[in-house]
Amino acid sequence: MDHRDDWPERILEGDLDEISGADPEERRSTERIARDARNMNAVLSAMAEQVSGRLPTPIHGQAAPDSRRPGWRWRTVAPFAAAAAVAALILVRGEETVEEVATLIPPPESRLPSMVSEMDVEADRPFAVFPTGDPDIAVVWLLNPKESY
Amino acid sequence: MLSDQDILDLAERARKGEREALGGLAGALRPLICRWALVITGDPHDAEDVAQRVLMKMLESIEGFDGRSKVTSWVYRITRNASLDHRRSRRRDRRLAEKAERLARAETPRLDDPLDDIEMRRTMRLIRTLLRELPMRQREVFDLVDLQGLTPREAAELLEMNPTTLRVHLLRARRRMRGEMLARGRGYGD
Repeated sequence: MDHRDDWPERILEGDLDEISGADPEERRSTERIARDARNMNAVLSAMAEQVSGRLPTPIHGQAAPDSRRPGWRWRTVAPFAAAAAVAALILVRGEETVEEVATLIPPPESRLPSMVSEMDVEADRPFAVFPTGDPDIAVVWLLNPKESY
Repeated sequence: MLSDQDILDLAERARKGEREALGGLAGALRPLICRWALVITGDPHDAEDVAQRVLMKMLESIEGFDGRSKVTSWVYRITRNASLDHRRSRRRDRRLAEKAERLARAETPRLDDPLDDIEMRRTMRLIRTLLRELPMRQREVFDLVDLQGLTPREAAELLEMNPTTLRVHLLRARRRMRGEMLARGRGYGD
């Protein structure tokens, strides 16, 4: 049930500081309204601060020239940053990791010719085999069965 | 927050081409712009877009500021126009319900003086009512007067609105919001 019609106009519409506090229920009501208003103000201010914090800082008296929001930039840059971070991680993890990567990716000078000249592809098979510079390693490329015919 | 005079001084210096003053003015007004944009658009993400546009516009057009109105009124007008443009361009009205949902899911802001869970839920619900159910003018006026504590005269000056008109908007907004506060207050055992 909605009780809002039970309240006198002066509580619903008046200036709080002008409403008499003689009646206990009226006083409780005005205190409730004042507390809600303070809380709303605090939360809205905090939300505005969050919004403000996401804006680019004006540099030398001018806003950043890119009018897009910073989030856009992060969405664009993040995959590259993540890839760079993974690459950096692989590189700094030590000799063993570097060797593993080197095993999987042959040196550029040997990779392409060997893959092109020696790859084993047959029209009726749903996969292709690419030998690498290392005789113990081959790359198997699974083809979509529908596309292999 | 800087005084009106400080802001006017910064604006005057910025108008003469002092870049530091321009940066100072943008920095001083940024929180206010974000608050206004948040209440006018009713959505934190829209507010971010609008606030950024307002800052750019303000920095671009400071030379045209003629000093006939207060700096804050001038910036408020830019904010309001930018918000309306933003809303028109994105046809946001049909997405009000979605906005309210997003607001409901939004991370609870960190407060200096944290509210307990019940108070926070109650407050977020009231804010959703304010942003979703009140017409723009009513929520602007209610925010400026009843939440931010401006006098009706100051708010009328800021909004460049007839004080009588402002009073009408304020009374309607209060009726809606206070009815909500009192009705829900009983539900919480007050």
